[in-house]
Amino acid sequence: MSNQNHMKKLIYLVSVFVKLALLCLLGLFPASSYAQQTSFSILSEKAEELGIEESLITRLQERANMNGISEGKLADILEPAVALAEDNLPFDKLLEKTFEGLAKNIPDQVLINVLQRLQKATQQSVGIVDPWLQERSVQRMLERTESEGSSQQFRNNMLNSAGRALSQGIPEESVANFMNELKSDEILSQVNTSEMVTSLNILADLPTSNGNLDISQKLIIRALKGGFGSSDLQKLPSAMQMAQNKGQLPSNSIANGIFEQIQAGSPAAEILQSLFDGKIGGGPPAGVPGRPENLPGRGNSGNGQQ
Amino acid sequence: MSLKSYIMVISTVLVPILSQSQDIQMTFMSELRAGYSTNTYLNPFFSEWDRTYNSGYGLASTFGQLSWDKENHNVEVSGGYVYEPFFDNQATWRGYLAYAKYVGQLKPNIHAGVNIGTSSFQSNFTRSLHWVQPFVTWFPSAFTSLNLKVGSNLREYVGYQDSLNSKNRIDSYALEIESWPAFRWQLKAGLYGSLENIPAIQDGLSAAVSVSHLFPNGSKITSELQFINYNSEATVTIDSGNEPGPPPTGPPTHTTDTQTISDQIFKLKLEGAYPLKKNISIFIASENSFYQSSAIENSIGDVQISGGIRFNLNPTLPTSGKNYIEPKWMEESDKQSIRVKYRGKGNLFLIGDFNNWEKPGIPLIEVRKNNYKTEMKLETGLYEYRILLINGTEEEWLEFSNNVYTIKDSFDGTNAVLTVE
Repeated sequence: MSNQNHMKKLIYLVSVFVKLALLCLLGLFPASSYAQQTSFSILSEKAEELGIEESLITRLQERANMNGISEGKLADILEPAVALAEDNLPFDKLLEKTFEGLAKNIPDQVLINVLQRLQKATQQSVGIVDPWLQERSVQRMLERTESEGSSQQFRNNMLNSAGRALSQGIPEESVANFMNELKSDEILSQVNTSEMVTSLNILADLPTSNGNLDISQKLIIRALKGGFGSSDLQKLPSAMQMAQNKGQLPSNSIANGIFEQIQAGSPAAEILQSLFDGKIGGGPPAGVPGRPENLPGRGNSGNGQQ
Repeated sequence: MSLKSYIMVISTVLVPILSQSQDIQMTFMSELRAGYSTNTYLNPFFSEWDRTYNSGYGLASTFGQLSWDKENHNVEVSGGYVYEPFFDNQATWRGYLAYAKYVGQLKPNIHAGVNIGTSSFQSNFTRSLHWVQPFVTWFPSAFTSLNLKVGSNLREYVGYQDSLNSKNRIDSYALEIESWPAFRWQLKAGLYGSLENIPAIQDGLSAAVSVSHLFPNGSKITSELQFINYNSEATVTIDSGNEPGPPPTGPPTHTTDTQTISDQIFKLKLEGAYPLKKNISIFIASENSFYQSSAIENSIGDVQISGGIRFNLNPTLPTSGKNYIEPKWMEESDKQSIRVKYRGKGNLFLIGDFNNWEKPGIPLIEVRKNNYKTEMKLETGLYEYRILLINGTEEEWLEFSNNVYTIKDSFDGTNAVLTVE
């Protein structure tokens, strides 16, 4: 009798356990889905409150859906931009990068990683840019160039550029050093805000930055002193890369060639064109084919030289 | 290996590369020259000791070169034809040269590679040369390079005087330095010798020093001094009546005696070139040589003077594998307009920061055959963009040519950049 009671009790307990397990299984997925939707909904509401346009968020959601991105991942994608908006930092570039990643069908986790890296770098750049903006010499330049745009816009652009440099592995200290060089009276007296932003923007892109950051910094400073405009500076990294590829020369040689050309007073357009042609206007040869008769050891000298 | 075989090998290697890469440059060089020399040793390409060819000469040469660059690797393949007639009705010197060079970057300041090549020239005899020459180049500073070459040179004469044939191999080394002590001054120096003479390198050491100055307009003046020294045992025919020739390149002669001959040749070369246009330049060159030998009493002086015109062409290579585009931006009445040349099926769209990378993007309209255009009003700023090709259901991001300014896009790719000022 006692055994029967025990058996009944056991069957009852097992049935209760199975029912509970079924209830949990049925409830788990909708609850999770609901939680994700809620998380994105809350985040998008917050984004709107922080000034991110509703139309942008709607477009983001549409494009994420088209790419098959889940609501949970979408929240992760939006999160970095919201975090920047929350800190009153520029988020436009981050949103542009988000849309670019979606257009290029970048895997969602890769996209999230890139956005998080950019977010952290932008936040990190505040500690460099804001004190720099308070410098008297910089303030004077802003007063002089007031017509070029608001100081808030300039701050945002500098934060974006500094953030870009940091996100590409330039150490914080190097960015700060470079900005210190930029604030010298000699530079500030002859450059505008756009050139200032571009200088910082190209820092990480110069071939010399991979191991010779000092040379990159000097090169940009000399280019600014030599009259390079914003668009000239923007072309400098790819022009140098081209000269390096065509000339098979160390990037330091190319940088030195540019130094020399600037010093010789060559105009920026001429310097850039010669770089794109694979020449550095002097200095070591840049792989331009020589006439065969001048190439030693190619069998035409007839004098046994090799 | 015949010229035909070389062309086949080169074609086999290059055609697949050409179809897949835009990193190839093509250059054509041609030269027309007229001059006078008292010894063919001083003639370009001929370079055989013969003072009986004391006459005016002409020279027409054309060379093509393909150069392929990818990351730390560079390959050059060159070939050309030379035609050198003499104005005193002696046999014309003609032939071909083909050579290839590979350079790889071991470190940013250390390169290594190999030169291989062949040439065959003929007049009333045939001279063929084949060479293999590995080298290492070190850049101790930005403006200085040191080059060490060690290789073999196989030289063959067929039908030389009295139908003598000969074949000899020279294993040689070269140590060259190139430096730019000032921006427009180039200094080159080299030591050359045979590996056979090591360790007594002074027995056959040659040297060359040249100084060049480049002017801002592209003109160039070069002065070169060469000292060539042969201090080796050689067989000579004293009673043959022939002019002595500097071994080992001197012509094979009837052997009546063996003795050690010490030969020295000093050469002084001056050349000036002036660019008429980007691809055309004129030049004038003179060369003096002084030959002295233990086999003769007096030294022999020779001179060569010549001038001519050179042409360079850098045609764009057609690529069949990928569509590389080169957008041109212009500002037209407060609007930014973009023009793109593209051959192929499908529709082109401009997509970038200015439209939040919204697909398909801003359509590019075909205004002329293979010429696409669109325009838009943009505020001052920096914009990243790409061109999207949509063909049916297929999408392709078109690659930019190397001449387009691009930056990294954070996704291991690149975007082109437009700066609106």
